[in-house]
Amino acid sequence: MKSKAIDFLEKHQSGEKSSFEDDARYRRENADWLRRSRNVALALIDYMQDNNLSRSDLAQRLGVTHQYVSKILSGKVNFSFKSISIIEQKLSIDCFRAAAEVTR
Amino acid sequence: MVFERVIEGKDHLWSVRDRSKQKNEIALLFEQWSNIDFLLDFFIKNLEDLKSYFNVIRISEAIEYTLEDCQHLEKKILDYPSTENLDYLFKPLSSSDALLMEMSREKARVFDRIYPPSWLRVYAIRLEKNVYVITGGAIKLTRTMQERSHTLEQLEMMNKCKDFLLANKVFDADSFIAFSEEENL
Repeated sequence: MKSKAIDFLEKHQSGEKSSFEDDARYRRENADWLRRSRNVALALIDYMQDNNLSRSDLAQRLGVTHQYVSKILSGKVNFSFKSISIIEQKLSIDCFRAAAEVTR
Repeated sequence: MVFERVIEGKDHLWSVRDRSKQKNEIALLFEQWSNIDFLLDFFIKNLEDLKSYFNVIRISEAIEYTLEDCQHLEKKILDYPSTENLDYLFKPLSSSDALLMEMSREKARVFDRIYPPSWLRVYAIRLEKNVYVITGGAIKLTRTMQERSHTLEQLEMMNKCKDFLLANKVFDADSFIAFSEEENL
């Protein structure tokens, strides 16, 4: 028999399924490439802090939009070779090396 | 106030859901904590707290600790056996909460990180043995929740949820009787 508390919660449900389990599953199943993307984002953050740059400054240096900078800083971007090359050329950051690091 | 079952088919863990938001509180929390762009903003705004309370100077370092603890907490919440033993994962928020058998305010954190101590908090109301409603969470960089608006907001959310549950008498009165009898032993 269900307790009064669980009975109450069931009667006051939103009617939608929680996305937490699916979100967590995605993070786990994609952990390997997400870690590489994350390492590139962290290398960019080090660069920003060392050079006292804002997102807008970084966008200007890369010649991209502010929105694109937010996207690459999310640590969830499946970078193309082209975008990696642009970052490496314009900021002199070794993205491949950063991405390959197991722990930073 | 409405709720969502966090793990399908399990009755022990629930989350508050604000219908004006895209997801429930626990899903939003872990989405934020795994988004580096969000964490960058947060640590830029709270850099002085990070330096003075934790002696962490590099933002990237703070983000790495946060991501590690986020993964660790997520695993504890979802994986057997910890998910079946939430009374071990959550601890009372205060000494007054520790005296309550039901409707206590609770926090979960990564307790085994030594340096720097983990600043991630998941907040919940404990309804009864091993039944929790998550109200939110925070990156807590100060000693008390009252010191910063983002943690104070979480404290208020916990109190609001507790008041709602109490107003709806979501507790077993027999437990309170048993507790007072036990106190007199």
